[in-house]
Amino acid sequence: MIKSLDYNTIQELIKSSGSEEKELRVKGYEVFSKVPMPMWKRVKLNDVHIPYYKEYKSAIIKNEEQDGLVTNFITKALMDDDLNSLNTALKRNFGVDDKFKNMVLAFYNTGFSIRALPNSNIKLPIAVNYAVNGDDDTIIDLNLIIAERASNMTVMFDYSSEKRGFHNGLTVVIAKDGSNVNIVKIQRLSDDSSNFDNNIIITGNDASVRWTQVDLGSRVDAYDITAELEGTGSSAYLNSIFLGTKNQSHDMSYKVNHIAPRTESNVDVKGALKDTSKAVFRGNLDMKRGAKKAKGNESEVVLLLDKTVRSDAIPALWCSEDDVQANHSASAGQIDENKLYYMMSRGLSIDEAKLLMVEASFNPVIDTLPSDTMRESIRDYIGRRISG
Amino acid sequence: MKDTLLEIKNVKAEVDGKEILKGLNLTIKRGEIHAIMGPNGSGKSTLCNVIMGNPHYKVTNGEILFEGEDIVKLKVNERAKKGIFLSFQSPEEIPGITVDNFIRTSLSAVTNKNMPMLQFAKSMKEKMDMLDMKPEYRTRYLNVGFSGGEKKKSEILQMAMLNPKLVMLDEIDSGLDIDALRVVAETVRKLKTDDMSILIITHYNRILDYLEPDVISVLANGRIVKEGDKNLAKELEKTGYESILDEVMS
Repeated sequence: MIKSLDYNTIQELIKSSGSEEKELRVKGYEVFSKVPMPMWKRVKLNDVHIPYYKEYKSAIIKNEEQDGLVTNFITKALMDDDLNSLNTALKRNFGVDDKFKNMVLAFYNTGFSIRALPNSNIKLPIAVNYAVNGDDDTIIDLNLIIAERASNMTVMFDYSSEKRGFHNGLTVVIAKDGSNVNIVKIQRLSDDSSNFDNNIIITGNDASVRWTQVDLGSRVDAYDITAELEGTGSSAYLNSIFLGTKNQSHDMSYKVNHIAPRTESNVDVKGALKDTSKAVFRGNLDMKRGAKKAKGNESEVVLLLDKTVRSDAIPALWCSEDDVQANHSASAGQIDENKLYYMMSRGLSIDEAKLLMVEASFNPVIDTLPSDTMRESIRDYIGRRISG
Repeated sequence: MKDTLLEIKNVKAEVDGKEILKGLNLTIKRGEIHAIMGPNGSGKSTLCNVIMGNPHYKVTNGEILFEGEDIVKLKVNERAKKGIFLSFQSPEEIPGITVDNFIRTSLSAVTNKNMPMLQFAKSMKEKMDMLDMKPEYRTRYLNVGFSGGEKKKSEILQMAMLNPKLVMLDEIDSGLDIDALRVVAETVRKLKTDDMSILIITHYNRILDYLEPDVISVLANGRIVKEGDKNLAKELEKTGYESILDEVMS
């Protein structure tokens, strides 16, 4: 059953839902219906089909039954606590764009709330899989990850498809005082899919969030990760790899707001572009007044595997506080011809040599993924995409 | 009578529009150790690059026959698969790729099959012991942070694992101290099979004490101007290249 993204659909969705869900969807719809579709210059949205509302029933969560862990399907029941946390996050400015962000709030059709209780150490990585599966081709997911005081956990999201799908998601990560959170997001939707992802991290005192973004699929792909470092001594380490082949477009945005003293951030993006693919990297580092002794760093390195690709980097640094350290760097270049010659002299074809250079750049990130099978399957996937 | 492995016929080659090889003829027999000596700028490294197929060098004339087949139009990796190996004068650094990974990848590219892990590890250990290389080099990024001597050893390790038919050693003696030179040269000698030919490019005689050449050719001004046996090296050491050039030119 497919329905338009309109007020009637909202009415139907909230008919039997609790007051929390009503509030969220109605407020989301108010903005969604007012804001026009964005006109992006660098990554054209002409090819994106705005979907109909559909149910999505293929979400899978693994390792959800562990001591100290509470998980819920967000579409079954939105708890009071969840809504409060969401509202805290929604006061911040983040996301790919208001249209897409509020589309999720109004029309989310899947999602999880994942909470690590205070002082809990969640040993096994929690794996959430959103696959395009038969008719389940529209994934609009709302995820809430809350690490209570002094807890540890790893959550791994995997978005995948063999055929065309649409994904637009919103993920809120709240890392409370002294917690450690690892987030892994893998996006390998088919090369005719669309992917949008809106993410926000909020940190308490001495909390630390590591985020690994493996962004490989989709024809049109736009995501934003915003980190609000609000707690003294808190940190966010955002590592990303991306691959563009054929006519893929990636639009990546990273924003780190250093709000509290002694906060630390590192944004490290490595990419490779082949054929006629395009990528835009936006990196914003904002050292707010009061963020004394804060340290921020962002870097992007892109391997250009063909002369027909396009890579833009737009790094920006804002400083309202004197007592900080901040660096940014961006570089894009073709593989050195002498290196190619050297590798080919050992029997590697030009594509094998290029693949090896991409692996060389990506390996430090792939090596940190929390599962052997995941590492292998990502390497295979990258190999197929570069050789194919 | 040994058969011919490599035959270069009247090859002219240029780099950036400048002709470096000016009608070079050279024959290397199977199993032969052949040294090429000559003054700086005579075209010795160009010769190696032209045999290997470096796209930066353009062959404008002549044939390069490897086991009877003209390889001028073959890509670099296709030549490697035929059994041609160049030990680079300045090996490239490849950050992010370990020595192990690179050699395994090369080996499967050259042989079209994967060597079982245990056999690979055993073979690597054997060759690294010969070269006096510590086992931890296997997990280091290829040539990154290696000293000049370590880079040369890494080249010979690759040679040992790939087991080519023609080995070109382009100034393997540069950047090596006397002890390292002895280890490298003796390892090459031990690894040399009856079917393997070695082409040594060098300025100095010392390496020829360890790897005794069957033939020495003198390359000057883009051509082979003189050929002789190992005694030619001693003669050159005494008289320098000038006298030979004078002799040839006159």
